[in-house]
Amino acid sequence: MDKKTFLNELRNRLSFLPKDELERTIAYYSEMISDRIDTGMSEAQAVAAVGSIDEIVESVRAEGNYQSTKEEDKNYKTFINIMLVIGIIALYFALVWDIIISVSFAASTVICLIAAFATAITLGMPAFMIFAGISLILTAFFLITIPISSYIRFGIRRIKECIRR
Amino acid sequence: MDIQLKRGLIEICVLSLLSKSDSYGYALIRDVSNCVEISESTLYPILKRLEGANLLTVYTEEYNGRLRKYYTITDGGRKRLCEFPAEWREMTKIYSFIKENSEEVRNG
Repeated sequence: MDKKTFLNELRNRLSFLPKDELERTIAYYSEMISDRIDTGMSEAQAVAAVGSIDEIVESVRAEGNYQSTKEEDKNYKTFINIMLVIGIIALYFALVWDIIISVSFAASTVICLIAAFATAITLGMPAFMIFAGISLILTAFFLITIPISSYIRFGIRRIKECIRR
Repeated sequence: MDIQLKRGLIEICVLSLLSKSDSYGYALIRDVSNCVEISESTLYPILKRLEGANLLTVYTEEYNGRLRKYYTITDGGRKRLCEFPAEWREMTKIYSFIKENSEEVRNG
């Protein structure tokens, strides 16, 4: 790998760092590579010598109070579990009360979930959190409005029946 | 070697090198490697910790058309080095204790 590609990939993998910390870390490894090149190593050798990107990312994570990869996985799993449970509950409500609302709820939640995972891969945790947040808000919105709208419809039906009599 | 043990000792190694003269990242790796294996990713957190504890300070100088970070020891760093011999004596005491208790260590 050449120096520029290496540093760019390192920069992407360390995007969870605060900006100044990120710059300092990149500068450190950039300097290390340059110093090794100065001793006569080729660029590829120098890049290989400073260590693998996985190693470096792991050592940075181990240092700070940043979440370890295991914790991030736990967050993903917890989020999926919560969404599944809420989804099942909402589905029950929606099927009992109204098919149209249930379909639109399911569609929007699925879209948000897909967006969350798609952006998580490319844009990282912050984007994931945003879409996850939107999914949760949509879920809460539908959980509240589905029963309320059904009660209102129920109420209107009863009133119509009373008027007919 | 156990990573925690290694870290603490490498910190002292780095300080000992800086007590002789200022140095920079790669030179530190090169010099410490004469004694114990160390990688860039091991050294980086050590340098950060030493700087945070004010045992060394950093300055930048131009070299070959680029900026290079140089490390210099502080009074706090020198004091830390002075504490090391006593720590080492304590370590040998602990080693004797462990050796007394463990056959594996006696035979090792």
